[in-house]
Amino acid sequence: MNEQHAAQDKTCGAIQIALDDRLDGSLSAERDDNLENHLVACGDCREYQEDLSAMRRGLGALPLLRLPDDALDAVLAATVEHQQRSSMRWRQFALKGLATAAAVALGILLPTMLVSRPSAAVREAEVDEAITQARYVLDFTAHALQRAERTTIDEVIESGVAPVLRRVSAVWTEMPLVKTWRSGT
Amino acid sequence: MSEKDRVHTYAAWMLQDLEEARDVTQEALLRLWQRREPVQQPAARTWLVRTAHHLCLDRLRRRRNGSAVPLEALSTMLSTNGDGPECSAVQAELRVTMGRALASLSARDRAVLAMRDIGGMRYMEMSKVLDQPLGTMKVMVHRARTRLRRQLLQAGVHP
Repeated sequence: MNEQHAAQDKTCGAIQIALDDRLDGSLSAERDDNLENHLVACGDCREYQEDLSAMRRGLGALPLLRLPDDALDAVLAATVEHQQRSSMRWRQFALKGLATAAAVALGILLPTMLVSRPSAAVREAEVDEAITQARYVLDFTAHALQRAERTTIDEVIESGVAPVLRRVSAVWTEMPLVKTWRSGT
Repeated sequence: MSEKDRVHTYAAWMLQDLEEARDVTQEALLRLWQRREPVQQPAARTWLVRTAHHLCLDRLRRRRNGSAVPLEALSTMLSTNGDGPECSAVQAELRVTMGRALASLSARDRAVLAMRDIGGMRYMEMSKVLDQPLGTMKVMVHRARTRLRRQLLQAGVHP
């Protein structure tokens, strides 16, 4: 008999939890059927269901406790407005970022997609040609830089340093360092 | 219901004291303003209740005796600051009885009932406020309702 009571209590405990779910609207149809079958036979659980519903109504009927405070209303309104503006800025930033990324991707992919793909041999020859041309350009640039550097130094020496040296002493123009520089050795 | 009043109602039921509830509400809203950048809508609503909950717990811990709120305070809370249709004397008495039974529960039980059955919060929001899994939240609500029912029956009131 005690075992029967214990088993029944265990069932009633589970049923009462299910009644909470039913009250919250989260009970499945199958569980609802099982619950109904139990309620038909169990007065305790029927009473619990009635009490639960009444309690829920009673708690829901407790008044909303307003707090009249204009200053706090203003703080809350300012907070919400700031958060909404901030949220909009982030959305705009994200949209711009996406648009930029899409444009870059299209800029890279479209030319590749539009140009027909040559054979492997032709591609290799083109690469070699490109490397050769790049070397020419680099050499030319290096020579140009050297010439520009030398020209600049010559001009500085001639216009700036040499006159000073000549004015200081005729002997200084004969200094090996200046002679060597001007002769280019 | 504005968020301010929602927080105030919650704090009032947790603390059973309108002055302290006002303080908690002010503190929570000011903190939200200070954290207006990291805390964005719509998470702000849950953040407010969570902040108010912790502020209430701090005040409850600081209370010396932790005893039940005097009946006068509860009646004042229910009659002078309420918002809703005019109710009969019987309904008013039932409100006080319900309020007293609620006030006699533990802070944890009051918290879950104030959020769920008074404030209408969803279980998911409540789980974020109390840092509990969803399944645990449902069990907590069930136990709180069971204990409330027991309090009402002990008071001779059939819900």
